[in-house]
Parts: sequence; structure tokens; C-alpha cells
Amino acid sequence: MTILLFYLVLGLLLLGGLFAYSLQGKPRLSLRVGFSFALGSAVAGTVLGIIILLTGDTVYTGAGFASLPGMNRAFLIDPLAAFFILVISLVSLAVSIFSFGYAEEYIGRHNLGILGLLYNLFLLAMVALVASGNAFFFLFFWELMSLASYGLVVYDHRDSHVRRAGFVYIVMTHIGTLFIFLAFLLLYQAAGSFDFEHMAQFGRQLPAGFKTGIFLLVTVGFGTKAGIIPLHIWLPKAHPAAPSNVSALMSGVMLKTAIYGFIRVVWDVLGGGSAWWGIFILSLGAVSALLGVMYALMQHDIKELLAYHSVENIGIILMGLGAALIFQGYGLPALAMLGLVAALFHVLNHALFKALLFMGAGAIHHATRTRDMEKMGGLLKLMPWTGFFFLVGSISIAALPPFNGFVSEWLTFQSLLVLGSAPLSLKLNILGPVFGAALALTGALAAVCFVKAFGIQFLAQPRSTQAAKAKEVPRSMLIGMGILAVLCLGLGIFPSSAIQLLNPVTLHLVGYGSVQALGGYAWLNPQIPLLPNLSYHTTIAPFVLFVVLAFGVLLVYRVVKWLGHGGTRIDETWNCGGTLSPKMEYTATSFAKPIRIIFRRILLPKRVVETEYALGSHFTRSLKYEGAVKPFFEDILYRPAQNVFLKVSGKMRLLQSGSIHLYLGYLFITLVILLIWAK
Amino acid sequence: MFLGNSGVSPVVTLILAVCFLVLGARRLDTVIRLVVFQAVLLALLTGILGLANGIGEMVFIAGLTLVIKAGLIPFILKKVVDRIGPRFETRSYVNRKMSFLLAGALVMVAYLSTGRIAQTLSAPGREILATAIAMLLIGLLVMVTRKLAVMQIAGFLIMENGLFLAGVGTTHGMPLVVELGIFLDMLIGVLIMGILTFRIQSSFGSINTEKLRNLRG
Repeated sequence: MTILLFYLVLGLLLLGGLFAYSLQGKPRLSLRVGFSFALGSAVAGTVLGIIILLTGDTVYTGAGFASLPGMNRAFLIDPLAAFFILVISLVSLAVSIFSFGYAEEYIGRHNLGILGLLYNLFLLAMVALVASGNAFFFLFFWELMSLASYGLVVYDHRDSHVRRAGFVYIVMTHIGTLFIFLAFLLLYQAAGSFDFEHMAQFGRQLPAGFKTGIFLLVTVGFGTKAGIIPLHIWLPKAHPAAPSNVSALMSGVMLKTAIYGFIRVVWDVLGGGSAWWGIFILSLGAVSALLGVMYALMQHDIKELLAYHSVENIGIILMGLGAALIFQGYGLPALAMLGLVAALFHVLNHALFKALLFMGAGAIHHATRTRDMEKMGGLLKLMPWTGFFFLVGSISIAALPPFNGFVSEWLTFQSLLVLGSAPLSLKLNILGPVFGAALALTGALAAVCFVKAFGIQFLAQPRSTQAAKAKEVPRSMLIGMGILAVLCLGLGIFPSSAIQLLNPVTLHLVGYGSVQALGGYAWLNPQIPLLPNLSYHTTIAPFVLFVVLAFGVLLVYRVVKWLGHGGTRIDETWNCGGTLSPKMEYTATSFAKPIRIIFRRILLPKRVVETEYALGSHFTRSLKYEGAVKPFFEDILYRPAQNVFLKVSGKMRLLQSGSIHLYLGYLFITLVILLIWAK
Repeated sequence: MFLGNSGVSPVVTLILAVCFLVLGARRLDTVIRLVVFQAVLLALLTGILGLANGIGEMVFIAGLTLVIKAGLIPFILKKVVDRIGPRFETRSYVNRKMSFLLAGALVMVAYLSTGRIAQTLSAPGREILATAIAMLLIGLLVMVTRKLAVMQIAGFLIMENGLFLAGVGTTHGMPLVVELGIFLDMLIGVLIMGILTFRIQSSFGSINTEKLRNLRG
């Protein structure tokens, strides 16, 4: 039954892609058909995920027709896979609805058949990838996912920036895939089988050095796809280049498939490792989170800003995973469960609010035709619903109650703080809270960043005519955003529902169910024994928080109204005797300036000011300001590597004379030398 | 039996001699005739060996060689040469004397390199293997030194003949299915190369493969 549902998910996506492609002559129909099939499959996928997570069963299929030596399972959906299928399906459900309205802007400009085909293939690859029962299928769908998403990134291929972004993306993703290939081939060599089930039996007994090698390979390989610093450079280029519905999927879901792969190999196959793996992942996560949010603050292209926030959130997820790995290394599976729940819950939450924000950015772009925040402003009055949903996403990503981001970050905090009191080495006891502080700083900076993003875009007066002429987007786009906004609030108030679903996942991975982190209906109440006489215990009640907050807001509103004059005054604000104009507004650049100054040693900002004088040096005619943040990793890591590569290629070019006779000559000489040598 | 293994040696020598004649040829149509001649000799050799050892398959393959290598392929080549026009001279990077010297050296390399393997073979096999390797090398030499695209095809055919000879001489031929596959491959290969030659002619106004250098980015 469940397996039929799984085939339905794949089948609908395949048919949707093919139908959309074959109907490319009728763009409007092609669009409807393509996204309808994706929507149907998303509904089926959601049901499938929930069924498996509630029953805790594992479903699998034999390799059958595609059988190769060392391969018995084509697809294997265990609770971990089911959880990721649920994440993919929930996001694609909302994004597919959003796309009905959003993709209309491409009618007449681009081929919608290809969009439908690639969109469906992309989803198909992601679902099949997490459901793969063996490394071979995994790699196949991994590549399909990369290629389909590349096709979508360069969909707007007439723009040279887009083509360049696509190039960087495909190069980086292939470098990552290389490492994953290596890891899987080594595992195949050790286990003699491509099946994950089979690998898991052998994986735990492998020699420690071998395991560490695999661990490092998958960290680099999946880290490239997930966008950890310093492997993140493709991310802020590719996300803005892609159509917004695709960026929502890429950022919300595709990055998570890398997290899935990492968990699959490190936990399921290798069964965890020594504690320093955890410290390594934790540090990578902390660096990615902090630098990600700092770079995000410096961006004024809304989609680039969101892309850097993906780097930050992947960092937060990795911090949870790192803490879990440390506990696993010390043989404390109950605490490892806490870190895993935090990480997996944040996977779900980030998928929801980041997809929501990207759709919001898409809606704004749809209405104003620009992504530059400095040209927006005052959109809240023109697009109230979009503004409201964007605000929900912003609060969620800034980890404020009562939304979902708060809960998973709170859990991450708990798993970091418990590092301080758990029976670990003294160094780790000190390090834990330090990482906690790093996470706190990240959260604060994220909040600043979204005050900027929301304030500059939606408040005050429009800064350009495009922004002044913006209109609310079509209903389908609002419904798409609305679904995710509701989910963000729902999971924020009732996180128990998600943690309940995670129970079979952690039970399978570390042997402890996640319900222990629950106190009751609306409470989170992790109660975990550390030592016989000491247990870890902390409580929070998101639902109560929500009620208190709601009443608090209401109360403040009433009090202010009562204290104030009552009624609305219409008057000019104190305005220095002039009329207010958009030129007087705070810009995104100036808003971020304090942060830029505080972290100037890290961000290395540079600025160029050109002044043109009219009369002497006291009357300026025009002032041109240009500021940028030094692309540190590009400069110290990628450019030298690129130069070396080009230099070597240049030397190799000598061989490529273009003369067919010389090429044959190479063969000839090689053959003669080999014959004489082999004599 | 008819001629027997003793009749093999002169035929093999003749086959190798044809290779030298190809190097010495001045005109494309001579080269095609020489290729036909070599194929006929090869068919003859296969036939003799087949009859001497009583292997029916080899006789069949001899017939097939005659039809394809001495019939169909030269027919295609002839068409190519006719379509290209009157420029029949074979142009080369090295002159004919030098070609002969190089080919002689290659024959020595062939004998030198097969020395150890040849000891394990019976009398005709020893000579056949060395000749086959020599043909392989001379075929490659033709491809490397001659400028016109048709000569590259001729060189390829000589190489293929060398491989065929090695198979026939040392193991009494490969299984029939494999042999049929190779024939088909070669036929398609020559067809494609023929078409490519036309394309080169129409793009560059010449079949001089030196001009392909212009394609370099």
C-alpha cells in the first residue's frame, strides 16, 4: 500500500514532466498541467511520509529489473528517508501552488515546457534520492538532481550573469560529487555491496582510520552541496539566478538532501565515530552560521541575502549534528538524540520558512521587477498579504517565538549547553557554552538582518517608481505562501507534533525515541539521564508563550490607545520645514553600517567615494558612493586554485596542436615505444 | 592437402610487400587497387589455412573478406575519390625514400617485439604474427604521414588487415560472431569516414587534413 503510494509520487512527477514538455506549444496549458502533477505528487508524498513516520515501518522494493551485482534494494524508505520525503513534499506542495501564478511571467519569453519538465524531474530526483536503497541509485539521482537544478538555474539563459552563476554551480557541485563517489566506492570495496543495509552491517566494524577517511570525504562532498563555508561560493550566485520558485526549492529542500546524505553515511552506515568528528562538524557549523549571517547583512539583493542565510541555517543544523556526534562519540545516545532532534527539526523549519521567504522575494520581484532592496520601500501598503507572509518568515528565521525557528534553535541551544554539564572532557565542557554563545550571536545578527530586509522593503516610502506602482500578486501565489506561513506558526506553537513524527527516526539512528524530549501536549520537556544521580532537565512551553505573547500585545495595544488621544491624527511629521522624500530614508547600506564597522576585521569592507564639486570645495554637485565587502574566500582560495588550473591547462595546450597527424603521431610513438619496451 | 602450411609463407610475404607498395604509390586510385589486392591475398591466406586445418568457418570468413574488403569498401572509397575530383596524387609529410626506410625499421621493431611470444607458436604462426604487427605499424605510419583523408582510411584498413591477420594466424580466427561484428564495425567505420571526407571537402575545398588545424579554438 505505502509502496504503491511511493510509485504514485514518482509516477506523477514523471508524467507531469513529460506532459508539460509535450504541451510546450501551449504555454498556459503546459504550465497548469506541469504544476498540477507536481502538486498531486506532493500531496501523495506528504501522506506517504506521515504514514511511515506514524507507523515506524520500513518499506522497500527489490532491485529487480535494474539489478547489478551487489545490489538488492532499489528503494528503501525507512523513517529517516520518510522524514525527508515529508520535508520535500510539504515545501513542493506550497511552491507548486505558488508557481501557477509566478510562472505566468515567463509565458511568451521562455519555453514553459522545459520549465515543467525540469521542475518535475528535479522533484523526482530529490524524492528518489532520499528513498534510494543503495549507493548506486543514490548517486544516479544525486546527479540527476544536480543536472535538473542546473537546467533550472540557467533557465533565464539570455542573461550572461545567470550563465556564469550556472557555471560556478555546476563546477562546484561536480567537485562535491567526486568526493561522494570516492566515499561510496571505498564503502563498496569494504562491504562488497552497494546496499546501504549491507554497508551498515560492515560499516561499524571498519578500522578507525578508514572510517575517518570516509567521514572527511562525505563532509567535503555533502558540504559542497549544503554550502558550508568555505565551499559555499556557488550558493549566493545560483540562488538569485534561478527563478524564485526554483530557489525556494533549492534552498529549502535541495540543500537538505546533502544533510540527509551526511546523516545516512555518518550515522546509519558508520554508526558515529570518535568525539573529534563532532567538534569538527560543530566548528564548521559555527563558522558557517556566523560568517553566513554577517555576509547576509552586507547584501542588498534580497535573494542574495536569503542565500547567505541558507549558509547560516545549514551552519545551525550542523551545530546540532556536531553536538550529537560528540555525545555519540562519548557513548551518550540519549543526549545524541537531543542534538539530532534539534538538527532534523531545524531541517524541517528552515525548509518551511526559507521557501516562504524565497517565495516572498519572488512575489516582490513579480510586482516590482527588481531584487535590489535599495529600490523598494513602502510595499506593505501596496502588497499587504505578501508583506504579512514575509514578516512571518522573517520572524521565524530570526528565531523569535511563537514561530517554528525559535523552537528548533532552542533545542540546538539545549544540546550545546548540555555539552557544558555532561560527563565529557573539561575542554568540551568549556567549549559547549562558547558555541552556544556563537549561536546566540548568530540569532541576534539574523534578527538585525531581517529588521533590515523587512523594514527597507516594506516600510516607509517607495524609493523608485517601480516600487510605487507595485500591485498585490495573484491569489495562487498568496495561497502558496499562506500554507507555509500557517505551518511556521503551527509548528512554533505545537512543536510536539513534529517531534512526535521524529520519534522513529531517532529510535532507528541512536536507539532513543524523541518523545523523551516532550513533556506533554504543548510542552517541550527534555528529561535525560546523564549519570545515575544526575539528569538533564529543562522546560519550555511554546503554546503558553504564544498565549502570553498574544495577550501581552493586546494589552500593550489597549494601554497605548487608552493613554494616547484615541482616534487617528492626520498630520505631517516633524519634518525640518521641508517635505519628506524617499531620499531622506534610511538605506539598506546605512542600516547595516554599524555591523559593517564592528566586524570590519572579518568582513574587510572597502569603499570608494567620488565627489563632484560645483563651486570650490563647499558645494557638491553629486556624490557617488560605492561599497563592497571583500570576497575573502574567492580571493584567497578559489582564485589561486583557478590560476594554477589555467596555467597547467595552458601548458597542456601545447599538446593540442589541432593537427590530426600529430594526434595520430602520439599514438604511433606510444605504440612503438611500448612494443620495444615490452619486448 | 592443397598447398598446406608451406603455401602460407609466400602469401604472407606478398601481403607485407603490398604495404610497401602503398607507401610507394603516387596516385589514390593505385592505393585503392592495392588495398583490394591485399584483401584478396588475405582471403586467399584464410582460405588456405581453413582448408589445411579443416575449419569450415575460416573458409566462410575468407569469402566474407572477399565480398567486404575487396568489394564493398573499395567501392565506397572509389566513390569518395571520384566525387572529390581529379586531384589524385597522395601528398605526404615525408618523401617516399624516407617512408620506405621507416617502414623497414618498423618491420624490425615488429620482429623484435614478437620474439618472445613467437617462440610459443608453430611455424607459420611465428611469421604471421610479426607480419601482422608490422602491418599495424605501417598502417599507422600511413595515417600519420599522409595528408589526404582518403589515405587515412587506407591506413586504417591496413591496420585492420593486420589485426585480422594476427587473429587468423595465431588462433585460426576469432569466433564467427565476433568476426561478423568486426566486419560490420569496419564497414560502418569506412562509411562514416567516407562521409566525413566529403564534409571536409565541402567545408575546406580540399581533403587535406592539415586544414583541420583551422578548427582549433
